[in-house]
Amino acid sequence: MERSVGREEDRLEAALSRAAQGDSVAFAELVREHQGMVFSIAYHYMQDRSLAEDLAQEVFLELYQGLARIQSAAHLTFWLRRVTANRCIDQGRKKLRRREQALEEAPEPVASHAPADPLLLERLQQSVAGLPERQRMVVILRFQEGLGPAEIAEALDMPVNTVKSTLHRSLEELRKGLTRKLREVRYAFF
Amino acid sequence: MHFSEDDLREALKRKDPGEGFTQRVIARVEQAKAEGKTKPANGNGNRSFLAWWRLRPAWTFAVVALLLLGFAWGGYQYSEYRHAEEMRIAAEKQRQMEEKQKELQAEAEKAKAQAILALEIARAKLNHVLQQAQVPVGIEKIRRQRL
Amino acid sequence: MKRVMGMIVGLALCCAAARGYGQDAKIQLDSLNKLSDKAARVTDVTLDGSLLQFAVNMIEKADDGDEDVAQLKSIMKNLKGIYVKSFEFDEASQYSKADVESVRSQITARWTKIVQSIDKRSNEHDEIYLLKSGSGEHVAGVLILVAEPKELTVVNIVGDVPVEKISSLEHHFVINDRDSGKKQKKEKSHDEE
Repeated sequence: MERSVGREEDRLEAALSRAAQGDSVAFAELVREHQGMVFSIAYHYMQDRSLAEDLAQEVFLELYQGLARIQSAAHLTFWLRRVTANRCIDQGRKKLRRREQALEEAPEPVASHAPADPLLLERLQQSVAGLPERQRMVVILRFQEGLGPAEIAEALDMPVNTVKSTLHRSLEELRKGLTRKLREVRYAFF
Repeated sequence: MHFSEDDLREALKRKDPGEGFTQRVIARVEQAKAEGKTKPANGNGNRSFLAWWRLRPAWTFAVVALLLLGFAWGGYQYSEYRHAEEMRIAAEKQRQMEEKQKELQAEAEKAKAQAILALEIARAKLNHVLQQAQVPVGIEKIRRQRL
Repeated sequence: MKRVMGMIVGLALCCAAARGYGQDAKIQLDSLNKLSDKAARVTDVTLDGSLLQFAVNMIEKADDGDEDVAQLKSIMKNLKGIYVKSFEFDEASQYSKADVESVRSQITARWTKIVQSIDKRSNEHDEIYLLKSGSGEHVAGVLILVAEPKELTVVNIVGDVPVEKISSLEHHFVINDRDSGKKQKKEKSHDEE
């Protein structure tokens, strides 16, 4: 396992090095490696596929322009998360809207496997999209990317304690929001 | 409504953007290159430079510690140098003053010797002339010469 | 107004006269410097201004216990200048009458020749002149001129000169310096001529 991770890192380091020298095949490899992460952060934040793809493309375009400054594969991952998060928040401030979609209208991106409770999961996604900007991104980075509070704090330029309190508050709001939504569509889970 | 963190993780699981995303990105990059928009944004350099250091706290700490040590050592060395320099200047001034004193002393000694010599010669010649003129050496005779 | 102007002019003339006395007292001896080349032994002393003051200060510091030192102090304290040109030659006639005249020609009417000695056999001509002060109460200058076949000596002392004290300085001496604590040699003098 460790050997395959090591080999994987070497492959990405090599691709990064070649891409920095202008190798577009190597750059495409980097895009393929990270497109899920970038697109997912944008999609979960904005709950809009086309907006998410646009944003993801801009992130990778920015990456192409600044490849020479990326130090390592790990740095690349950090950089992509940070830039995507910041762009999402900026985009959200410009648009100032929270989309609440009816269950039947919500687009269904390709999932790797079937969720346990699709209704709950969709409501959760929508509830997350309804959180204030910073809270939303904290939740996404925590539960989509599995980042710890320190990593989230670094990515979003926030104090660690603020991240922790934001996370706690966000989960509370999600619970309240979910209950409201379920009442609105007359679904009872308890 | 209760949901678990696993539910949240499942809800926020990564999703693939779909077929052709990579090609669309490459196409956009090529379009940007053609339009001459491939220069890196100004903020990126600073962001990646700072990020490099943020990713390596041990390095950052070591460099900062070394810099601080260097400053402290440099400050100490400078204050030692200043002190030594002040001592040297004070000693130099003292030495110059002493030399000046010695010079003045020597000059005064020389002047004294010359004065004594001159008065010696004056005495000798005065008495010689008085003797030649057979004038007695003494106060009364000098006074009688219409002083 | 005329009276005031007259007083101012009178005062100016007095000052000029006083200054004139001072200037008369100093005889210019530089014309004799050319004799140095021919002389076997030269004594050249020029002591005035700050140098004379140095000498006076040094002598002032010396021990008053010695009678000669005390006498020297009393001689020096009112002097303004001491000038000596003394040339000793191996052969006669190394200087001319014109050299001696260059000194004598500066002796103004204010000077008084108090002693003159002429020895034709030895071809020696010695003179002593005194310059009285303006008030006439003390000496403002002394000139001693000794012209011998193999020696020419001119001594010019400016200031309130106690001639009798100079004459009665009987010893060769060097000061017993109180500050340095050194006692230097003291011996009786013999007449030099």
